[in-house]
Amino acid sequence: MGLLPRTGSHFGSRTSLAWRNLVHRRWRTVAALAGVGFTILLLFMQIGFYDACVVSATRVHEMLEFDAVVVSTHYVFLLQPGSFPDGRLALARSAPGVASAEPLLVGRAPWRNAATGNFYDVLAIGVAPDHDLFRDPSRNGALERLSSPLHAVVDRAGKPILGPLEVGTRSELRDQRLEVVADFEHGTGFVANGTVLVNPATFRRVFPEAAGRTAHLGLISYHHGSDPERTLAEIARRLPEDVVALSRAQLERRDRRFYLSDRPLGLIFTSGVAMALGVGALVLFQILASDISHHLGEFATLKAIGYRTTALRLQVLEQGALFGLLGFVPAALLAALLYALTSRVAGLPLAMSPGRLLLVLGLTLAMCGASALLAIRRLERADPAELFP
Amino acid sequence: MRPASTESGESLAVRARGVTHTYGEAADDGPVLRDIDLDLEPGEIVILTGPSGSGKTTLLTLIGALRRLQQGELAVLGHALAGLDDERLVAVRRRIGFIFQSHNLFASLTARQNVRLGAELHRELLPDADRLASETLAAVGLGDKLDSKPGELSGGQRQRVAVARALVASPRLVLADEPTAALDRDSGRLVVDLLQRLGREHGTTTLLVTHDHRILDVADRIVSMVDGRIASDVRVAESVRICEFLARTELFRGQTPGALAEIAEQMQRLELAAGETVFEQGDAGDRFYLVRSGAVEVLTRHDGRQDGGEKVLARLGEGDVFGETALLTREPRNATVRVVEPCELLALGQEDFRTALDRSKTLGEELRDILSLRS
Ligand SMILES: Nc1ncnc2c1ncn2[C@@H]1O[C@H](COP(=O)(O)OP(=O)(O)OP(=O)(O)O)[C@@H](O)[C@H]1O
Ligand SMILES: [Mg+2]
Repeated sequence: MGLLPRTGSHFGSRTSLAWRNLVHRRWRTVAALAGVGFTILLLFMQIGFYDACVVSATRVHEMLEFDAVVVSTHYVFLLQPGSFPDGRLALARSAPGVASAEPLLVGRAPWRNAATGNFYDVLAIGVAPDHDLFRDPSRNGALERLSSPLHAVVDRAGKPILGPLEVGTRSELRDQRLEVVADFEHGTGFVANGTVLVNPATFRRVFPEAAGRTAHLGLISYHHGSDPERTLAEIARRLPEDVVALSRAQLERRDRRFYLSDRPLGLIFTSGVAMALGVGALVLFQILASDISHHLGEFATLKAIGYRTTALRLQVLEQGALFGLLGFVPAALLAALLYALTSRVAGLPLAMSPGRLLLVLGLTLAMCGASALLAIRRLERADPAELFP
Repeated sequence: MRPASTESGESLAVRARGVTHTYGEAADDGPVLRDIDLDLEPGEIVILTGPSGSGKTTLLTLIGALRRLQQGELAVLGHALAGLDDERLVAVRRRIGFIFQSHNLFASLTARQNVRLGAELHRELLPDADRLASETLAAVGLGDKLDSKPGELSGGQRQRVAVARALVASPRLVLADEPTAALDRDSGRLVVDLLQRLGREHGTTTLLVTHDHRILDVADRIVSMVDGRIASDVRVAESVRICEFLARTELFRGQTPGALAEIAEQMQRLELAAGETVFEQGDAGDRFYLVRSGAVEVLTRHDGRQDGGEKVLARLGEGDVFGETALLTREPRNATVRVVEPCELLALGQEDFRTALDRSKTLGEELRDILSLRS
């Protein structure tokens, strides 16, 4: 890298003014990198949280085995599903291609921290002991233990505030005494602090409004080899107007949209990213522009001795890119650390991924490029004719 | 690019004709350069002097292609600057070495890296850029400061780094504005010696704006500007030579150097071919002559022989003078002078001659005594 783009056929490298300038004014550079790095860190956190939202929105769906669902036409999202008579599932079961249609009850209820006695909301799921609920078949065996109304199967990945969750823990879901008899590890996402699975009868005692033969979700599995679209259409054709059949993808899209569009969450993150980029670009512009202003005489001299303005522009771009790259490395490391910390403390699925690294690097370079292009206009002020006194 | 030998530049380093420049829209104070004609030969060192505001810097920036030419013709290193696009102007600038009064070195680069910047522009110099930079710095006396940053150098040393940057690519033309103002005598001498060497070895032309009397001796010519015009253009070495000749004559022996220089400046150059007559015996005496080169014969006609029977009284060569007698005695020429080898004469008019002599009355009287002794 140098003042002029190198053109193949000769040896000897050109002096990188951009790099030298960075090294020379160390403390200024460190301060600038802190600013740029902080912006990049913000990007990582914003995008991380946003992605966590996306993942969280369907975190629970992920662990459930189903190809389609039957839900009430009032379905809003997992915790506000509306209910329907579970007889509707018999209609779905009669459609060709359908292997099973099982009712599920979902709701939010307070769980007592066995250590402190405080209550925190969890996602409660009422599931029949013989229902092969989990996508991971190895987890399904535990569900048999739910034949007792006093038993609970919990997700160990629940947040620490829920207190001890290991097998043998005795606690309460609202006012129902329960004993943890089995556990698994998955994660609940944003929906609640954790997940507790209970017998449908227990669920109805916790949620009296769910009494009777109602269901919140009907989980439908297809026969192997059946055409998903046609099967879904067949189910829909059999169902009355109070319910709808949604494919897995449709359901996930709905829940995601609920979190990211219907609520301002998505907007908050998007504008957060935009603001971080804006502030970062402004900081970098200030640094680059003041750097040019401080070196107007030198730049004018280079123009005078025959450097093209293009070459000088490239060096400003190079300097911007250097700031970006040098700020990126520590920011990415710190972000990875914060991700690990946040996912531990808040139970959010935050993790660094190559795609995220590339995305943030791309945004960083775009931001640096934009600032450099703005700053470059100052180069016009470098007039070689003013160099002679 | 090699300088094209075109009608615009021939082999001159700089050729200016009728260059006129006005700053701003409203030419309130009129042009700052008026009708400048100036030729710089390859290898010449020309010093540009003149009072503040006389337009020296403006002329320098026009020649350096740093400002657009408004009026007149200007050819630099064979390229007519009028109407050149930016790209071409940059190409011209690359062959010029600029030395500014403010050195404008990059604080983040070492002396060698700063100088390298001047070499890196030239693809063919890139492989040797480090060596060239080191050598040029050594030539300006900074061989031991190669890796120092400007912050660790004195003002004079920084200026010398800037000079090295200007010279590292062996430019064909060097434009410098007060390059030695910040230098002590020895450093200033190093710089001008370097310019002189470049001129001798590479034919580099230097145009130097300076008021530094310590370096006037390097000038081949001194051009002085007043009020946007060239007021005088003196070939220094030539003037010195003429003064030396004059000082050796009995007529002007003892005159101060200043007086001699003034006389030299008033003298007119004549070029004559062999066989031509400078003046005839009996002509009215109106000028005094110095033989700059070539040879003439002084002849008298034999009395009574009108057919041209002549007697050669003397043969005069470089440094000899003649024609003073008629001016001093106010009588017609007492001999004929004819050119025998193509020659260059310097002639001083009657008025100037008398003024010069009268400057010291006693001197004039003394001379008349000398002359009377001669006859
Ligand atoms: N950029 C400019 N804009 C307007 N007027 C200018 C500019 N530069 C110089 N001038 C004017 O042009 C005239 C000639 O200036 P120039 O700088 O060429 O003089 P100079 O001979 O170099 O003087 P000095 O010895 O003080 O450096 C001055 O009257 C000056 O005020
Ligand atoms: Mg000036």
